[in-house]
Amino acid sequence: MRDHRQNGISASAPPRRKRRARFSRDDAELTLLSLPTVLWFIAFCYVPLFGIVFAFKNYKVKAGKGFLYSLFVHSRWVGLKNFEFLFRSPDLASIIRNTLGYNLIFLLIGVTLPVGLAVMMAELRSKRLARACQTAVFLPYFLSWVVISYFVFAFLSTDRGLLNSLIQAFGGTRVLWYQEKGPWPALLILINTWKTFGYSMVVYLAAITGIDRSLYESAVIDGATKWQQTRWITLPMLRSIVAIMLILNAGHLFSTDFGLFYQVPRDSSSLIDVTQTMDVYVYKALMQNNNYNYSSAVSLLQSTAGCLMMLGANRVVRRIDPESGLF
Amino acid sequence: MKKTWSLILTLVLVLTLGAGAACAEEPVRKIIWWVYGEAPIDTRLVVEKANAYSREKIGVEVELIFKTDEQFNTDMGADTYYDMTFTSDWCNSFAVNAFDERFYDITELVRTAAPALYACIDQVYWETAGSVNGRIYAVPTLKDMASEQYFRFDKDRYEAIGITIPEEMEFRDLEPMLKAYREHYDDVYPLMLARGGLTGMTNSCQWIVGSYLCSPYALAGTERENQIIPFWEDEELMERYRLLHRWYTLGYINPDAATTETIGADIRAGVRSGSAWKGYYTGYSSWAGINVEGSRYAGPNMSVATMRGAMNAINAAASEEQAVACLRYLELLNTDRDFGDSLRLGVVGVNFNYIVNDQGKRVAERTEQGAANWSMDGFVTGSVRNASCSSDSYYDWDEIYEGYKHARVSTLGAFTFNRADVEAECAACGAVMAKYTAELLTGTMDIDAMLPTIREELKTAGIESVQAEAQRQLDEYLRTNQ
Repeated sequence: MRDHRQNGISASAPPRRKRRARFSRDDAELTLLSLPTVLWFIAFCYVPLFGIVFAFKNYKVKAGKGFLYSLFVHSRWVGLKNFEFLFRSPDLASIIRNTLGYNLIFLLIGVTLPVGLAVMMAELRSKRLARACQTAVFLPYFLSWVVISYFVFAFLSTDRGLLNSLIQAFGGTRVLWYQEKGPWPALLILINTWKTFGYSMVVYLAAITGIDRSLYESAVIDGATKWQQTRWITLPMLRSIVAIMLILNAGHLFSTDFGLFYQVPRDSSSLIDVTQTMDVYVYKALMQNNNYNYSSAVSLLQSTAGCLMMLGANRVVRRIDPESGLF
Repeated sequence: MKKTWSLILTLVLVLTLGAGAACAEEPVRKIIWWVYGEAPIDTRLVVEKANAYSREKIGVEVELIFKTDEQFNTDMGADTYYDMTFTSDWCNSFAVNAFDERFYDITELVRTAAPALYACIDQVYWETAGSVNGRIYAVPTLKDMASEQYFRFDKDRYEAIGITIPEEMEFRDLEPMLKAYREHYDDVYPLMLARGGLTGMTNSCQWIVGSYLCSPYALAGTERENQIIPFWEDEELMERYRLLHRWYTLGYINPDAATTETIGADIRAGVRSGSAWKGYYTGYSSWAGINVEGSRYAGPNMSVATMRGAMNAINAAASEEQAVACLRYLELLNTDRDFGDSLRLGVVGVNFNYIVNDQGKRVAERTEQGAANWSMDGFVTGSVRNASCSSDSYYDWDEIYEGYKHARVSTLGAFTFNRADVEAECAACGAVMAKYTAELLTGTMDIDAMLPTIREELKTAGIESVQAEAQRQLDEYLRTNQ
């Protein structure tokens, strides 16, 4: 009975046999359209999943037998032994603190700053100025970390850096920036924000552009100020997209941008307390040992923790606002 | 007449078939050879010329593939096919690959397939460098086989301030020379270092595991020989770390050394360093563009590690025919100087020319194209000992090898540590050392202040287990080999 009502069919109508949905021309086109993406996901996200096996094997190559034989037949199972490597590190506490700490700060800034700027940008009357600002903040997103590391070095180099030149010009003593860990947490946060916030801002700006303008017109007629329009129309309408971005970013809480934490501080040992994250530690350890098993074990750990964080974040968001969850 | 013609035709037929059969017996074999480094621009030109020569001589040609350290690791891990590969103590680890049986056991084959190659390399190098567990897995490259560390000075600038470069010196004797340079020249730091520090500075010992467990050469012949110890117990090494830090604080070393990737040839540093041999750093250096003079501060020190500086091994998956082709190719490289030169120096008339130097010796002078398009480390393409000297510097290999008789020799023989049972501990200890290496090697860090922290971290990472395992393996090796 309920089904009939939902389908808009009166209760008195004769029961119709459930018709099997036909694969329409539209369906075919859409399937075709999605095919490259599906294939991409299969090839790069699902097929490589077998690599998880590495985390539980002592991978040894059997010359001439090929990679798959070496992995599945020749290499022996070692249980959880490969995870031992990470927990043997005397820096484990600082690695976890840095990984989670920076990511939480990035998460917080990654929501507040781009949303705030997107709201301000949407209010710019001059379209030309708006476009120029968008381009200016979006540009750093396309720069590689290696290039950025050289920019930073141009500022912080002990001998020829701009900052030290300024300090010395004012009679100060030059600072060994790459050996002073004090300023680096703030520097890394600043650099990461500068590089990434433009991208998020464009996403939020697109969402703001999509808000029905009649809502603002009604608010103006009712005498709402700009702040009230933002508080009661823009921000509530952005809630869903903010939630989605938040949930997606929560999945990366245990992974960090290797370029930011390795290239930008130029792998300086003096800064390791504040720059060593899980990815940096694994890279440096594996450069020494070339052991795929350990890197797979740590990656599996990161992915599992990230997945759990994402599920948790989704659950929290759904509890606060049932319509804003991702799934 | 008909009979005569029939006879002639039959003869021709037989001869043709015979020649064909002979050709079928000796088809040209192509071997894939992985070598160390970045591919120079003239690779195709040089290899084509060398292939024409080796095809004619031994019926073998090569496909030369250049690989960096990381590429070796990745491709070996993925079991990518090759016939012959560069292997050593510092890149594409010989020990790891030999223990994992990834290399061809050539113990018998090298004697039968390439007797001249077997004969031209001293027995000690076969037994020590090329062997693991008494079996031969690699062909040692004849180059400098002991570690000799040199300071390389800017001769003109030092002579201009009245300093003569001594032939030999102690590590600590560098300080007054740095001081003098600092006082007279202010365009560059006297000791410009990149994160790798002074090349070979840590070779005061034979490294057994990573850069934290070692056997110092200085202990050979003492009560403590055959003991594997942590690096802080090597007094020679510790003194060098302390001196470097002192020079750093005195402003002789560039302050950003620990985060600098390389010091290019365009920087006219007063002092550089390197592993070299007598006569190597003498006269005009075309690389640096200045006159240089070398002074030895350490060595010769000899161990399995120094002998494994460069070798070539054959893939365990290669067929016997391919393995024989590889060995014959190496044999030609080691015994035919012109062929050795053609791979090391390039094409005569294009990349280099033979000239006669002041001492009346035939040496190779690189052309501009040769210097720009076919320049690499000498050991990359086989024996250096057999190759012609460059016109930059002339040295006598017989004299250098003679000098090895006075070397400080490690008492550990061909012992090679197998880390299989303590792999996690080794990885963790390696990660600890990776944190401090650049700062130690550049003098940025005060070793005495940081040592307690480093020791504590290494202890947490499991250095004691690694040391105990290494000592156990060494004792067993010495027991069975004495």
